[in-house]
Amino acid sequence: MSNNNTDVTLEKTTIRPRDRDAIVQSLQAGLVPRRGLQYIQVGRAQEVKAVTEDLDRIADGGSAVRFIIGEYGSGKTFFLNLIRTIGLEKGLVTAHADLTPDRRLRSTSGHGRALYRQLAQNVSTRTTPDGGALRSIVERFIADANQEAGNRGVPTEEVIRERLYELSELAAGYAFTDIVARYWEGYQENNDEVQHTALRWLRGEYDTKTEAKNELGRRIPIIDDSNWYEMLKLLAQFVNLAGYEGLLVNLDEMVNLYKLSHGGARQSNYEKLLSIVNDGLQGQTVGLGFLFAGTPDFLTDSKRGLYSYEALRSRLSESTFASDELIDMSGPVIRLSNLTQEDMYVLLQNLRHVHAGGDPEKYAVPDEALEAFMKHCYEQVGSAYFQTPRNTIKEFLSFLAILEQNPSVSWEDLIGDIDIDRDTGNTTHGTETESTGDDGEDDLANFEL
Amino acid sequence: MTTKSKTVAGLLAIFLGSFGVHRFYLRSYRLGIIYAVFFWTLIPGILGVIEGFRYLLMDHDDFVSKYSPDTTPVKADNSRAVPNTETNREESELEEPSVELSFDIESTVGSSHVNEKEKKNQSTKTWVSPGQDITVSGYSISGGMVYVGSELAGVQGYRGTDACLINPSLDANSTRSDPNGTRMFYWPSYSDIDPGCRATYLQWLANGRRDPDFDIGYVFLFFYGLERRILFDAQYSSEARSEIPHLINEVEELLEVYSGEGSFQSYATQLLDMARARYNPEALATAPPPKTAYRHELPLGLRVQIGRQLVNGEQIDPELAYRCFQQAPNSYLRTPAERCEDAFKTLFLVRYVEKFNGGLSREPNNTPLTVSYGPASRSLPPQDDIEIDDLPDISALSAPQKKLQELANECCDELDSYSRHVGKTQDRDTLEALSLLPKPVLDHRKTDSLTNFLQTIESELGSLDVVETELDLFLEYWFTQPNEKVRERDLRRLAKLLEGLGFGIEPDVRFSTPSRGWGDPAVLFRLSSEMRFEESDISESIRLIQKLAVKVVLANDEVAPEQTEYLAENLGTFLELNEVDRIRLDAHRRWLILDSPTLHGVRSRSEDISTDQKIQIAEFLTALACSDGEIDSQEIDELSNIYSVMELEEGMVHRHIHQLQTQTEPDDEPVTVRESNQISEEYEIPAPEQPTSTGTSGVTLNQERLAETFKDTQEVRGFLTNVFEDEYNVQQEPSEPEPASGPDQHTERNLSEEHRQFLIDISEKSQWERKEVEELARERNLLLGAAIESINDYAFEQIETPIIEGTDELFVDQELANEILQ
Repeated sequence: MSNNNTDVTLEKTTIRPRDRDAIVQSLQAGLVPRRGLQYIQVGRAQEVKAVTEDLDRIADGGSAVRFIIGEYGSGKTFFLNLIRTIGLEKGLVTAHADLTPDRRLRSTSGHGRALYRQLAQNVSTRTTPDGGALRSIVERFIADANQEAGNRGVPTEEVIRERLYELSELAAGYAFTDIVARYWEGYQENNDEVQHTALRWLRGEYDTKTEAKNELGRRIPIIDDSNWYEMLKLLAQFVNLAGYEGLLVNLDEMVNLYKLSHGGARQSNYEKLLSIVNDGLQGQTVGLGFLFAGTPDFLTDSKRGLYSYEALRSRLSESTFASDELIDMSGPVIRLSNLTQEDMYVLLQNLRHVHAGGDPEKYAVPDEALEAFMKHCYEQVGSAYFQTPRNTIKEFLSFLAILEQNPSVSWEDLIGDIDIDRDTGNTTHGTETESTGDDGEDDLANFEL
Repeated sequence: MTTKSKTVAGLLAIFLGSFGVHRFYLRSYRLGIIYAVFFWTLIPGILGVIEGFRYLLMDHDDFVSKYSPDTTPVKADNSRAVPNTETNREESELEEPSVELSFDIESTVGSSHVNEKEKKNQSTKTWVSPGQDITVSGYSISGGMVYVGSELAGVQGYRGTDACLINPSLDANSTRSDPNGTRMFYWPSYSDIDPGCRATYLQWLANGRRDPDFDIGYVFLFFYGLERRILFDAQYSSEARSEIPHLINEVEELLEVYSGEGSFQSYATQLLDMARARYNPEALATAPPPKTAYRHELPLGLRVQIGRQLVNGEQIDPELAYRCFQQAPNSYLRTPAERCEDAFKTLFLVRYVEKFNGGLSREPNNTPLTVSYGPASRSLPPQDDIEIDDLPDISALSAPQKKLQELANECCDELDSYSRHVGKTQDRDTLEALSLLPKPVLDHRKTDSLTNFLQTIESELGSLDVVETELDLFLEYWFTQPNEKVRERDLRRLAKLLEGLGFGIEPDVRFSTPSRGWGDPAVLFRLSSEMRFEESDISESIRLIQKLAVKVVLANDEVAPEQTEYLAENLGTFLELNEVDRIRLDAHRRWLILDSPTLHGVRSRSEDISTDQKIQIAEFLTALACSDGEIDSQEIDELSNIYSVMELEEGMVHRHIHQLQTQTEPDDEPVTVRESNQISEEYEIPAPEQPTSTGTSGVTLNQERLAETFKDTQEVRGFLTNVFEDEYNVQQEPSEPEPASGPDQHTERNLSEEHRQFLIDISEKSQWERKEVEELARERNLLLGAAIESINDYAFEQIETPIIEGTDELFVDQELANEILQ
């Protein structure tokens, strides 16, 4: 408790008030801010750089696969969000979903399609970062085609088919082309119903071929458990054709595969995963990248984890020279270390810096207050305060806000009144399933400024 | 002793009688004390007056006979006169000789009727020199050494003929012979015993003086003569002195025969001591120690030797100490010392040197070594003490003896198992028996089986220090039959024997290694001579850790050299182990690798280990598994098994692997594990990432790590700033490279006219229904979604934020829209 950290103070920077407000508001609401992440991200430079390089590779028409491995609270989800935000910034289309018992990579009872549906709903672009961008992407593609058609004086549908020609070689590529054309048709006819059916198809919302046939008026293959991954590949090419850089797919809570109690089901999911990994590592997909997040046991458990599947293990095994100064980022596995108190301290510094608009002169509290705050938190909830920091961040920002609004109050007096709620979210791995969608980590998707 | 004056006694009694002074004067000390104690009752005073007058009125002779002789005969009685049991004789020996001496000389003077010269003449006349033959009363006595004649006055006190004199004129009646001595007095005199006994005595003499069936009284009778010759005659007669070696020899021979007679043995031994001390002190040290069943003090010879060593400033050498212990009167030997005397002696000598560093008593004590002798014969006066060469007397001290006894007991303890084995099987020399011997004894033992065994071992080891072999090599020399189950006891003994011979073996069941048998691997290693160990400091938990570690190393069917190195380093050097333990640990490791251990017993053994420690052990094992640069599923399987056997949470192994991999800076400080049994183990185990248990304050920032984090944070900030800001600050550069056929290059850079118009349209309101906007878009031939994308993209470039948001209901930031439209 005795440091004034003269060597670790932040330089004066200018943070735009808009950014500042955005950051503070999101964090106070328990959400991951969309902008200004550079002001709050603590550490992990190596990891961020490595994955950003992946994004660049995707943008260059390559592929990427990464496994983000970390224990609960080590910030996997935050990391995925950060990467997603970077991806959006780089002009990628992103899609993300949590795996749940009902959303898996492979199944025969619709769980694979459910995962696809979730991904399709969460398709985002920089301008539509909170999901639901599929329609915009389709429209943008059509608008371009339409424009070209206008320039060339040919029917728009012809341009659409022309442009999507290369897709037809892929599975369901032809159907995909038809659907895009149908959307254009619906637009032309100003028929919402038609447009809607096309979007439903794209989002994998048809349960049966019969249903699709009834709505679309003709026999057409639908997206199901067996071809959803092909559809993602198709989509990756499509967003490229629509003027985006590529598609980044984030799959969180991979531990749900590990938790599958039925060995055969697990095995088949790992097989699917293997084909994705193979495609990614061998560069067989174009402009498509995957990030998988999971816990250490999901990876290394040799009975039920990825290591139980020899082909995956051999692709994912890492160098274990613990003494190496640098983390090896060349492998497909990136391990996130647990958060430490030091991380927390730097985070608080960052928050204070943001709160003061980047001006150290305007810091609401001195360094001692940061430590006092941490100590206070520790006394209230123990080490959880830095291991699962969401509530700590919220309280700290409120703390700063109160001090700002009441200059007469001293921080020493105020600190004792702070109540930190224990992060009740996922204190055990056992509950880390569907509920994660509700406890805030997913809230980024619903972020509203 | 002076004769007491009755006048003095009377006056003392009258005047100081109440304090008993007169009684003290008359040497009636006990009464004197009683008087003194009870003087306050006045009764002693009254008695004193009465007694005083009695003394004064008493006849002088009566007084002397009643009081002066009263004291003298008491002493005389004690030493010689009345007692008729051997025990009494023993007791008399214990009397302080000096006291006797002081008054006996006096009384000698007072009571002798024959003067010194006469006595000497009589001696010379009657003595039959050694080797001369004489016939008395028909008995032909060969060898001489007796006094024969009619007159030989006792040298002292006893008024009359010396007891030893054989007066041929006295009747000897062979028909009433009494070899059992039933009619012999305790203190016999040739003149006084009955004719039958005389005849028996003469018979004994004639038979050559060695017949053990005769009563010891006859021997004493003869012995009196030897005493007189040695102690009295030799003082003045050179002839007598020249005979002394013969006489001593005679006594020694008698002693041989009659050593069973305690009293005779005691007198004879002491006479020998006295004779040597007087005439040949040199012989004292070299004289053979008397062989006797029991004694009440250390043999003089031994004491002389010890005394000399002490005086010379030397330490008592082990051999002497052993004899000293053996011959000390109160030494107690337990069964092992008797049953295995050789072994006991060997061990005793070695342990003596070890324990006392060659010396027992450092300071010579002040009690001088003296020889005193109260002759058996009543006719001889007690002899003056002789101090021998100013030597100290070790027997005056009890501490050395006590220490030796302790040492002996310890030796007996050590020999106990061997002794019991011998007692049970009468087997002293098989390897099994030898294995029970303590190391020092084993070193001195040479048997064929041992030599062969050693040869086998040496040829197996060759020039190596450690060799991997099989247990069969050793078991062949053992009692066990091939393919029979080998008892743990045998393995224990085998290990012990090997250790005694300077070798170590693994498995060593003494150190909680499980029992093995025929065909099982073993590791044999050399122990240098300084490296002896009875006990190992290697605790059970270390062995447990090692076992588990070997399990991990073996998990993937190949022993990676990095792993064994890591293991050896971390278990060997980080523990504060001595060299032996290190070697043993290393051998144990090699054996474990050969043996392919199972997890059997791990659960129960790990129960004693605290959870914290288990976790540390587990972390160590995980680090070990990773030490060769990779971890495979077999290793993980093995680790998982171990974790579960140690009752650690199942997922922990993965967390540990994870922590191990995410640790960027290696910890310089190894975690120190302190065991309950004080053995410190230090492993290079990475510290847990979270300092979760730093006491109540809980917040202790690691400055180094803080600086590291801060630096990392600065780096990532710079990187992210580039990602998020540079792109839209540099507006000339197209933010999104188009696909080759991209038609919308134009719209990306500058908002197209349609879009611009559309934006103007919708910036009229801040909130729209989607349907309305769609219509507006359609009017301008735009697809709404595409239009919003384009406008927002453009807005991002310009002002880093979208203008239009929402899906079903759309919100337009009018202010920003105007900004863009400018």
